[in-house]
Amino acid sequence: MEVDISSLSDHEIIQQILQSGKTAYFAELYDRYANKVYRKCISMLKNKEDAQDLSHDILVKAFLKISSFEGNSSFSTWIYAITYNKCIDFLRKKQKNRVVVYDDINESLDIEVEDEVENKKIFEIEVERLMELLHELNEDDRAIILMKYQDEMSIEEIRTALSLSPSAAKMRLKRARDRLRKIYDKKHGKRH
Amino acid sequence: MNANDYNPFKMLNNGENLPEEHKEKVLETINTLEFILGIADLFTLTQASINTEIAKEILSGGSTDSKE
Repeated sequence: MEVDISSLSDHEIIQQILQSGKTAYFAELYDRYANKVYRKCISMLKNKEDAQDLSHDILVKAFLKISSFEGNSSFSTWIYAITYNKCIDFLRKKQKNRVVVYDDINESLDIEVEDEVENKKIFEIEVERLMELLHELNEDDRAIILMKYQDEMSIEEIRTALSLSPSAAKMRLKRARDRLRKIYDKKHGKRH
Repeated sequence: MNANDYNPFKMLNNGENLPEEHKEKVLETINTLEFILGIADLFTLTQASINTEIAKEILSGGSTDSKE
């Protein structure tokens, strides 16, 4: 009996790939995720040609490594983690000598209280200005902001994707958000 | 966050799509790499079985010559 691939969940498709290795299943996953991966690459790299090339590499890598997907998270979270890490590596290779130093340890971790207020401020940024503002941040800040606010990844998912401790992930997110907001206020004036 | 809230991050690059030929290129690369990996596996397995045969021969005293 023929299976209607489009009606299968991501997990079911992956099972089918592992059992049969048929390209048709990869094609379905491509249709579901390729443009999302590409848009993330544009958000990270800005340059569309680089984004296209990197999307190719990310999709090939993800599909060839699909047997290592353990199903602990959703497939989207897994492939987005590969995407952000590949983009960060790509940008670091491009600017070899830049070193980002984070001091995650000696700050208060009382972040949740501020979260709601700060999130509201972040969502006040106009979409037309967002791309420009994101590119004022370094690649690590940009990735963590996109993971949180575009992909709605949890702290646990972010920390797993970026190989951080939970407190370091929280601290980096807070700092990235503060930086983004500061740049916005500086460029476009405080409105509150 | 409420689903009705404005979220500018969700709208970033929404109109950007990969060109049609990109899909073919990705699937072709996967097929090619799978083929190469398959061949490499085959050689590794063949080599491993040859090594095992040689080892067996050595461990059994390499008696083939003396038997003849």
